[in-house]
Amino acid sequence: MFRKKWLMAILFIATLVISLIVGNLKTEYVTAQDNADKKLVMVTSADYPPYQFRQTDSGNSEIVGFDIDIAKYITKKLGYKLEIRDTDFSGIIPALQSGRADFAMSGMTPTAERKKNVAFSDLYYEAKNTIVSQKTSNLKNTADLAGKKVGVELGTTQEKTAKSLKDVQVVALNRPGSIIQELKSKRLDAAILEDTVAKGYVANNPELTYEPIPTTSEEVGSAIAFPKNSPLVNSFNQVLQEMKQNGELQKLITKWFGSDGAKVSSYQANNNAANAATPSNTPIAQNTQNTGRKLIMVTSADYPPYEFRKTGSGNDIIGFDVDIAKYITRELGYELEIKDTDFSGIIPALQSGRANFAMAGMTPTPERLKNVDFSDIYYEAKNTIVSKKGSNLTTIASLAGKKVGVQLGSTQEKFAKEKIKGAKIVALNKTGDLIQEIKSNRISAAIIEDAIAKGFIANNPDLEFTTIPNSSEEAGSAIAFPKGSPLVQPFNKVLQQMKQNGEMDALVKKWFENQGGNQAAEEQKKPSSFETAWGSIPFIAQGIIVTLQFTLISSFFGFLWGIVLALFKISTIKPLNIFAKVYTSVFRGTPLLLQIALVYYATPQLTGYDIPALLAGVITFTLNSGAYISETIRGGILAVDKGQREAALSLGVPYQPMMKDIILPQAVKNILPSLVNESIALLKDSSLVSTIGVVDVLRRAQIVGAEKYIYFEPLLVAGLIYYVLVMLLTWGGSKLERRLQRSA
Amino acid sequence: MNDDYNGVLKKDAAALNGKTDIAIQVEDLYKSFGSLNVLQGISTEIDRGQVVALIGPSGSGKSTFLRCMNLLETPTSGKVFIDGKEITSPKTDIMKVRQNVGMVFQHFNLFPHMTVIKNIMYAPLKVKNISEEEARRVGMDLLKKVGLEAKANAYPSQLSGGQKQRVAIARSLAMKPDIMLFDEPTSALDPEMVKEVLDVMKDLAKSGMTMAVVTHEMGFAKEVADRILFLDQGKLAEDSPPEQFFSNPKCDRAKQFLDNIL
Repeated sequence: MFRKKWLMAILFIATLVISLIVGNLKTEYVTAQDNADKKLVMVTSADYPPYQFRQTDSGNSEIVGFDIDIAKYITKKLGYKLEIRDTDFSGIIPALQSGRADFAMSGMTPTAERKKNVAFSDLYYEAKNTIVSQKTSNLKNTADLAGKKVGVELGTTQEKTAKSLKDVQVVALNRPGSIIQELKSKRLDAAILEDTVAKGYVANNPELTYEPIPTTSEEVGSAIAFPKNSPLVNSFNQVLQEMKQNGELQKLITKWFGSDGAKVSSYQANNNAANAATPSNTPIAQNTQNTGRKLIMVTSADYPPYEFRKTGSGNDIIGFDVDIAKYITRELGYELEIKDTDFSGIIPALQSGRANFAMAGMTPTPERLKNVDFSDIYYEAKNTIVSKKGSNLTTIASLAGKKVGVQLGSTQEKFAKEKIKGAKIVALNKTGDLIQEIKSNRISAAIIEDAIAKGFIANNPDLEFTTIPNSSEEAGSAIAFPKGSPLVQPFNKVLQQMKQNGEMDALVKKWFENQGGNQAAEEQKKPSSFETAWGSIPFIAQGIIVTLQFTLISSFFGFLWGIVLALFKISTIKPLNIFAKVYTSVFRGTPLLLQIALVYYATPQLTGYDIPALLAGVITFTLNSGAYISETIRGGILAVDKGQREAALSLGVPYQPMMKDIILPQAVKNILPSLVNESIALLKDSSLVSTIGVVDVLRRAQIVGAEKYIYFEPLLVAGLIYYVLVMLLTWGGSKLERRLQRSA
Repeated sequence: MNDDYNGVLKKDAAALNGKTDIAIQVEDLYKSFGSLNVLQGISTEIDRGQVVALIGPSGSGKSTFLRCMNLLETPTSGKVFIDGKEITSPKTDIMKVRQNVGMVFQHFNLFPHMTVIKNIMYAPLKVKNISEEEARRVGMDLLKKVGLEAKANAYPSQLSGGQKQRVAIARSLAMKPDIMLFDEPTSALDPEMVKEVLDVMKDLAKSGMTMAVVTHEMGFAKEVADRILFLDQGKLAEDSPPEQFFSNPKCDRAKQFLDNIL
């Protein structure tokens, strides 16, 4: 009886988890309309850079992009607060129709069908479609696509365009990223993507190229969508008009589309010409004079919000410093190339002349000044003391005798060591670690730069920060140049100009003040971190499919491979014997993590086959678990009474059927508990695939942690999910065992 | 019952054609396990239809000798012929020979994960490629002969020791062998179950099966065997008809042995 109740409980939990996955999108919207005093809810599909996309890996998972900037501008002008909701592209129109959102911006083209269901603003951007393909494939125009496999994003105007072409096999995928991947692995011959999107990908995938498709008479451009008869349409159009006139729109176009990557082809000139109707700033005109002149900047792209990589799409380096660098180089008429290196490699890069300048949130210290030149300070960071609320650690003096955390190698470390008397300094690798240590009382306070501290405080209501008044010493960021570089003066001039025309303030605001929405008023409404973690269950639970996929496929093949190896081991054929023994010792003797990395990274280099992460994971787990299972099976075979073998032999039964029908069934029955053990271990080990970029349960928990500034709560959720999965596996295993036991 | 076995196991004349009168011939057989010399030069032959009991003190090499006859043990030197064919030659397909030489073990060695009838049907199906119905028919007939047709669908774990051994005999017979080797078939049985197994063996002997039986059942040896082979320290110490062996053994070692057990 008890056992039955237990079973029901597990089934209940499983059902709950599944229904949460299914209900994911719906639950996100529920409250949207309710608290909309002066708030507008916008839906978008944040997977379409540069229109809208997420920056995830930096402890900052905001949706950013061209559309987002426009939406922010308009709502601010109209006096609304903006709330952005992410959904699948196909869920946008339903969200508008059901009133769960006030408007939608998602690079949407106002097609006739869509106009039946929603209202559209004027066009804010006209995009062109392009054919993206491998450089070698020579696909130039739509006629070339006859008989080819062509990828498009599901539900887009490109899908429609592709379907209208003759003899083209259209493959609709969910994400542009997967289309590019399919192109690279030659599963697709070409793809039709919007030019701006294509440009970003091509810049980052040198083997690809794109060709614009001449515009048809039909409207292709992006407009804002509203529910039918929305009163917002007119006011939005007014602001759009205003943006076109005051140059704001052009600025954003340049920001998001203008200097993306390094490829600037004649096509971009067309693009600019198309937009010439709108008043334009001078930079582009200047730019053309200097085509071909290029400045190389080095940075260490691991320091958000100064510079960091956005994952998920083009893997571009973005950030405050990058924006400044782009602005300055554009003003001066240079192309910009950004190189990533370790922080410690920056000064050597400048000294060796491999880079023209460096921006990495660098403070011009006397030591550094010996080796490189610096521009004026472009941003002064302030240090803050972060501590638990009520701890009263607000001055440097109060830190005496306390444990104080800093980030390893930062100016804060130096600052703390020099200025805080009598404190014990603890240097950790990541700011997130510092926060967690404060929360768990292992350190009393941490010295963190204000911009970064702000984001964390906003999301951890139990903490507070106090800004440390600046000392006389220079503590701010400047641009570094090789000694005697002629660029220092022009750069300083542009920096001056940026400070005067408000551009710098805009960037400071963009990168430092919008982190995590830290307005005091909003802070009040913040859910507790557990509620946040609870809300993230559906997101984390989506990793179950990946995790189970790995476990089941790898267990199955690992088992088969284990049998083969076990037979090799008990075989009398020497080479097989030796092979199996060496194999096992290698795979048991090296870390699984290393094996995954090797399979994933070495395969393309050695064989030219770009192995997908999922396949690499499955292969590694199969190979590894085969080694372990083979020992278990060998033990199981040896444990089968030798009389069984003799009986079979005396009946004249040959080796193969004897093994298959007599020995292995008995061996497997005996080792079943060990096999269940092995697959449980595999299920948990599958979390290692997150290291090669597979988004499984653990990886998702980490993403949530980074995005929501919470540390262990999502891990608890992931732990719970793993535990439930293991329970299910255990239950299945013991059921199987009982069933086999019946026949003996 | 005598005729019944003939009915089940009957071979057509062609199959027996050309076979010699000597079923098993052993020439100067040696077998060592490391430094332990278990068999030290045994030569003998067993005629077709003969029942031979192998008797001797423990460690004398009886079981090893028996197991050399179907190469479950590989002799260190010497030759073994079955039906005139040298099975110790590497050219011989030993699997083929074993199909014709059944063996019954002390510990039955039934396949625990198969039902009784599946145990019996398995080898004929796998090795002889006969049809499922044919295998089942032969299997059920044999079960009837050993008095266990009611247990056809039971698993070995549900049987008593005597029943298991009778099933094991039926399993060997299902391959229709010419020769049957018995390796202490009743040693692992409770005393009250010994008889049911010996009865089956007696019937089999009467049907004309060539049998070599390692046994401690002197009554059975006296009543059923045509010859007694007495082994001592890896050597064939005496080879006599049972009447003579039990009443007046030739060698002293045999005398001593009989004194100890009788």
